Order: sequence, then structure tokens, then C-alpha cells
Amino acid sequence: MNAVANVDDHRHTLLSVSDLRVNYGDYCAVKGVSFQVARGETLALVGESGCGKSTTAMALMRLLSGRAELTGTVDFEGLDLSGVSDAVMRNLRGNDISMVFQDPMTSLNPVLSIGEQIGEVLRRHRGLSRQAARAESLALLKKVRIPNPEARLDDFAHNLSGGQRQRVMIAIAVACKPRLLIADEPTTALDVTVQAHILQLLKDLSEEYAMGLLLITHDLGVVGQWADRVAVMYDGLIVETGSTEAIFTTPQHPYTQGLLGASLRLDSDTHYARASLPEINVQRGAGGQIHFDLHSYPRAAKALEPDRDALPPILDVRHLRTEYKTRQGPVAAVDDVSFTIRPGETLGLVGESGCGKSTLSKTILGLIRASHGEILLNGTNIAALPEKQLRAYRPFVQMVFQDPYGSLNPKHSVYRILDGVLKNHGIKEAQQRSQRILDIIARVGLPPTAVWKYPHEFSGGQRQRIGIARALILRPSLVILDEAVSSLDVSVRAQILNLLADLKDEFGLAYLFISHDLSVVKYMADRVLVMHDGKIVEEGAHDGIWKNARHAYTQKLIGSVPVPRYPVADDESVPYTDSAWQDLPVAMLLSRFAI
Amino acid sequence: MRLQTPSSAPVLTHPARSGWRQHVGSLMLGRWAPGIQRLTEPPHALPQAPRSGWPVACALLRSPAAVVGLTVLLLIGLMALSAQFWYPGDPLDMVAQPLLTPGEDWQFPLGTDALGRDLAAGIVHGARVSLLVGLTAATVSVVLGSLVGALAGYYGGRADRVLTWLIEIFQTTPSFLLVVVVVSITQSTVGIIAVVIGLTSWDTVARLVRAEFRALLSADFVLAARSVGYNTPWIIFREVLPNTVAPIIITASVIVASAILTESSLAFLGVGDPNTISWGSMIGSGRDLLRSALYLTAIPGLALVITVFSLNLLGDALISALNPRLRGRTA
Repeated sequence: MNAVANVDDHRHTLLSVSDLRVNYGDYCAVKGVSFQVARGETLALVGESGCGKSTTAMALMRLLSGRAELTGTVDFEGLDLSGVSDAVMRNLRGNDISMVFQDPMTSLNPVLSIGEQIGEVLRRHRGLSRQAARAESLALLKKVRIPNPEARLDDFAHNLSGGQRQRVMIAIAVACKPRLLIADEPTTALDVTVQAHILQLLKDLSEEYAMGLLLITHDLGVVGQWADRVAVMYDGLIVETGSTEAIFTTPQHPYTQGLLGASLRLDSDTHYARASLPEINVQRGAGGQIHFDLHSYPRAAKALEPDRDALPPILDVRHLRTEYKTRQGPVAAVDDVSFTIRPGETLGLVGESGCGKSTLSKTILGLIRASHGEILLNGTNIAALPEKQLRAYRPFVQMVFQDPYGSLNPKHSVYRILDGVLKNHGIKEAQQRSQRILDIIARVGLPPTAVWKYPHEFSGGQRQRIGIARALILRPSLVILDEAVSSLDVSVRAQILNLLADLKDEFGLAYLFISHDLSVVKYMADRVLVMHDGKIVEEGAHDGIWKNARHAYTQKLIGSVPVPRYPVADDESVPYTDSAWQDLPVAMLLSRFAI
Repeated sequence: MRLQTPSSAPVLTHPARSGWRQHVGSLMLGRWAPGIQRLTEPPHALPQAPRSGWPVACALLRSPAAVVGLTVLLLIGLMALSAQFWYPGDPLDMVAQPLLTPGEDWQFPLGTDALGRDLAAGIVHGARVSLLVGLTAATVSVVLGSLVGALAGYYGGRADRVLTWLIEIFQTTPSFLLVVVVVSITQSTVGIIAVVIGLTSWDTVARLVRAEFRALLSADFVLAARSVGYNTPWIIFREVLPNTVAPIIITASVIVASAILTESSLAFLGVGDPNTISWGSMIGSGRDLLRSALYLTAIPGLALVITVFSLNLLGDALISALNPRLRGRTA
């Protein structure tokens, strides 16, 4: 009866979830979620970390720990999965419903060969002989387009790259031609050029097998390019469902609108100098009601100074080379890199993992020694300075790290983290230190009481604010932002990017903004460098490089970025206009110039 | 109308030639001016710290396990210190009929041994030696082991190879024999025995600390500390070492117990300090009569178990109290 529903004209509903709830004791992770997936359809479940999207997927597979209580119905082609026995469920998993996980590095068994791992599924679920399983494994590896599949069969996980491992995971998942494939952040750990191939592969397989695809992701670019329908989740609830076109062009819910506004697109022209990103304010009412409020403020950006190019560079890197010793001899992670950063400028650096961008930032900071070349900081070569003398220059270049969880010492309070920095740089008077700590804490948008708290008491975005405070407390002129917003959720990322843009104006900072995410670099950078295999392959202005990329690698990189098929919504951002200036109180304008 | 920026290029003077800090003011392109987006003025005084200045002690006292462990250890310590008050004279003196079972004569509540020595006096006096040996040995091995492990882990390379080699030498040498040899050469006083036991049991601590350091050194907060310009001792002792306390404390409480037992083995072999009584020597002397008079070994054994158990309780609670994440949870 319910196998046919009116989702689309001739489509059959494959999976129908209604009022699914997951409780861990008193904590409610999923609070009544309903959605359908049709055959051959891709439904994207979108949301930020902690919204319950992965828990929903695990609940469908009944893979949650014993403490979790499930209620609601999960109808899979007429079979209610919430009522079936564990034995039936085991048989369904891998056979009819399969799953691909986020981290390809840990989801393969390191001591079994690739052929054995694929063959295991075939022998278990389809009863093939060892020989037949091997032949079928080879066919599957060809199907997932792994180069040189014959050789791969006897390889182990460590021989494969991240993208190849994810292909193997997909091969295992589709080995029994499942009718539903759940992909939980399948490309989040992968480089952008690899991501495009993997998503294309998933789409092709879903069409070929008429397989329903439940794509769980936080990336709206991926959603906009690949999904047929979208369900937006927040706090254990689906706040909005609709076709991808409807969600992208006429989002109804303020949270969806905020998410779309806060996520950056390569095909839009928003730039930090002209507009801030909209921020979502979530307020909880007394009765557990959640109120969403979207707000954005005009950025009274300073006009680009005509004479900035005439200023001597704050950082001038010349023919820098950094080597790592390996058994095969030295390998250059940074190879003959030259660039300059002028005062007040944001230089974007894009590149995929392993291109040497992190090594470059560590070399500039003096954490790794350059084997060749010069790093001129305001004209002084710091590349060759011994550690003792380098200490005097450290306050001028500071870094904000990627991982908001690992970059703060878990045993120290915020006060101690910041106080130690000042103490180490010779500020002896305690009163002066505490005043500077309070100043910077207020400036990065944290309440003064935050100083007595410990890192674990903060959210990821708040920790990143503390990381920024630590970098700025020494009043540097250049801040290296090494993937500083990469591990943050879209809405938090918007807040941090706004903060960084404000701080840059206020303190006249220059940024070296390193990221693998081209759309973020496009928004934040004044000038862009593209790094590949340790070399700078292209350099250009932030508005020109995306259209006029000359180097083949840059073109490939730009072509791989997922771009939604639908145009940018009108009210996405508040563009910078002259009226934005006029709206500001005069006093504020005055304070702006009374530096 | 545009934002004012410094008209002249910032000049960085070489610190060797002039005090660089004087130039900081002129160097900084950024300054502490109020900006448009400044929402909150920073207050001029630090907010009141939420809890008292002794968060670790407070967390410890909130944990029932720690309170029990601490109380028992304090009682044992007090008992050891006031041994002369309860049982004046030498506990090795023969005071009564031999082999009185516990409770047989209420003047000697824990009974007497084969030579007619009061067991209760032995327990009270023996606590001094046992606690001294256990705590001294643990302190020596923790200090030495942490230092060697931290240096090996932090510096890596050649220093690590040399120190690891040293650790392996101590691990492969039968440490008990080493203690016997050293004690036979030097005087066999309680102090020397305690220190020597500590000197032969630091290798476990060193290995654990080294492994923790290797893992933590790649953490971003250590890189951040280096990029801020912290010196090496600061990074080792203030940044990384506090993150290795959990394995150190667990090993330390094991070392206390094994040191007390090693001392008893020394006493049993006759290389211990012959003039003192310890729980270990009592266990050793009761061994011959294990079948006929079990209480001779069981009572000092029980004292040892209670001490080690309290230490473990305290150690576990201490690990939670020293971890800010767990500190809030212990109710």
C-alpha cells in the first residue's frame, strides 16, 4: 500500500521515515524526523555539527549503541525496520542498505588486502566462491574507476590515497547492489579535486542501480550541485524540506536562509571589503521555542588605498625552500617560493593537502628551519636568525591554528594561556597584563568571565576566538591564518570571518590566509596565490584570478569546486553601498578616523 | 576621506643593536583604538574568579573517594608519627607469650609472633619505615623518570636515542639484584634503601612520559607555544608536563606498593636495615608459619593493602581533579 507514494510522478518511495526520535537517557538527539527517499533519488540531509544528521543515519541502520532508544517508524519498501529482529537487520545491512563513512583512513581494515575486503562482502551476502568473489571484486574496482584495478586487488589500505580508499569503500557498499546507499559526509576528508570525482561516481551509481542516495553533508555547495531534494536539520528537527531548487532559490525558514547566506559560493562576488556575512542568531524561548533571527551589518570598509602598493612589504619571502629528510634523501615541501605581503593586505593561499602550505606557514613562523632562501620581515632576514634573536621578532608574526580543540592547552585557563604570552614577552606589571587580556577578550567578542574558564567549556567557534585573542595579544602586524575556519560550521565560520575582517580594519593587520577552500579565500583575500607541489603556480587579484586562471592546475581546482546549479539568492548579503556609510552614527564615523 | 595609515614605512630595528621593545609602539600598524564594531567596552578590573583559588583542592574534597583515601592515609601517617606515644620502647622487644592469636589476650589485640613480639606495636612502628620507603622511592622515581622521559621526548633525535638506551639498560637489569648489590656496598639504612629502590624503578615512568611527550609535541597548542616564543623549560614544564600527569600518578601509586614489597624482600634476605621493623619484614618473618599462624602475614599484609588502596583512591581522584574537564563533573 504505502510502497507507492506521490513523491514524484512515477517514482517509488524507497524509504519512508516518520517521526523518528532518538533518546540517550534524558538527552534527545533526534526529535521527530520525517522524510522520504525515492528510488534513484538523492536526498541531502544538511545541517551543522550536532544537529543529529549522523545520528539519524545510524538510527536507520540500527547501528547506535545500546543506550539509544528509538521510536517512530522506518518503512523500507513495506518493511518496518523498527520492528525487525537483529538477524533480519544484519541481512539487510550491506545487502539492501549500505553505508559509506566519512573517514576513509580508518574505515578500511589495515591488515586485509583490498580484494579480500570486497570479497568478504560478496561471499557473505551473495554466497560467491573465493574465485568468483575475486573476479567480481575486480569488476567492482573497475566500476568505481580505480586506476590499475588488477594491481590494487592485492594492495593494502596504506598503499592507497584517500580518494582511492573512499572508492574502495564505495565498491564495498555497492557490492550487493543495495537499493539505498547512505553516504555520511563521504567527501569531507578529501581534497576538492577528488571530491568532485567521488560525488560524480556516487551519482552515476545511483542512476545505474536506481539506488536511493541519502547524502549527509554540511556543505551546501555539494548539496546544490548533486542533490535532488534537501532536508535541512537543526537541533534534531527537520526545519525545512523541499526540492533543491526551491531550497536554494526561495528558502522559507530563517535558518535555511541564514545557512545559505553564510555559506560562500565561488560564483558570487561577495568580498569582505564590501559586505559582511549574515549571521544567524538563535534564541531559545522559555517554552523550548527556538527563535531564529538573521542579521547582517554593513561593513564600513575602508576604501582600498591607492598607495598600498607603494608601501614596502611587511613580509618579503624570497626563494624559500624547506626540506624534509627522508630515506630517499631530502624532499622539498616548499620549493623556491617567493611572495610579498604589504601592510594591511590579505594574501590568500590556496592549495590541496600536501601541497606544502602548512610547511610554508611553519617556516615563516620559524617553527621549521628553511634550508634556503630569505624571509624578510620589514627588511630583516629572520630565516637565518638563531632562536634567541628570533624571539624578539615573534610578536610581529602570529598564527591562528586550524584545530580549535588541539590548539589550546586543555590544562590551562584562558587567563593563564594569555597571561603566559605576555609574561614571556617581558610585560612584568600584572595590572598591565590583566588589562590587555580583558581588552583582547572583549575585542574578540567574549564576555570578561571567559578568562576564568577552561578550553573545554567553550564551543568550537568560541575556542577559535580565544586562538585569535592569543595571536593578537602581542599586537602583531601579520597574522597567519592556517585553515583557521576550515573545521568550523558554516554559521560559525561566518561569524569568525566577520570578526577577522573587523579586526583587520581595526588593528591594520595583514593576513596570510591559508585555506583549501577556494570560496572562502575568494571572500577573504585581496590577492591570491595558488600552491601546488611546493611551488607557487599562479598569483592574481581576488576578482580576476577565478575567471582568468592561466595555469592548468588552477583551472582544474576552480572547476572542481561544487557550485549549486541555482543562482545566488538576492538577499544573500548586504552589499556595500554609500548609504551604508550614511546609516552610521556620526560619532562612530569619527571614532573610526581618530586613530 | 580615508582611513589613516602610517605614512612612513615601519622600520624594524635589530634587537641586538637597540632595545626592540621601545620600538614596539611605533612598529605596530594596529592599535588599540575603538572601532565601529566594538560592542562591549572592556571592564577595568578582572571579574571575580568563579571558584576559590584552589580549584584542585576543592575538587579533591568534593570527591568521596579522595576524602576516604586521604583520611585513611592521614590516619596511617599520624599513627606512624605517634608510634612512640602508643607503644613506647622497641617494637622488637619480646613482651609476651609467643603466638598469641588476635583477641586471645586483650593486652595484645593483634596477638604476638613466634618470638613473643607485639604485633600491634609492629604495625604501628612498621608504618613509619614502610611509608617512608614507599613515598621516597615513588618521589625519586617520578622526578627522575619524568625528567628523563620529558627530555628524551622533547628533544628526540640523538638525545632520545641515548636516553632510551639508558632506560632500556635499567629495564633489562634485574632491578632487585641491583638494589641488593648497591645496598650491600653502601650502608643498609632505611633512607638509602628507599632512594636506591627509587633509582631502580624510574624507567617505567620515563617510558610513559616519553611516549606522552612524543604524542603531545605535534599538538597545535605546543606549536602555538613555540610560535609565541616560549622557551624550552616553559614548554616542557608548563605546557606539556601537566598533560602527562595521569599516567605518572597511576605509575607512582604502583611504585609505592612495589617499593614497600621490595623493602620486605630485602629484609627477608637479610640485607635490609636489621634495627628497624617494617610491614615488609613482618610479612617476611611470618612466612615460615604461614600454615599454622596465618594472621602473622595477613595482618601486616592487610595494612599494606589498605595503604595502597587508599593511595589508588587518592590517585584516581587526583587525576580527575587535575583535569579541568573532569573537575567540574565530580559532584
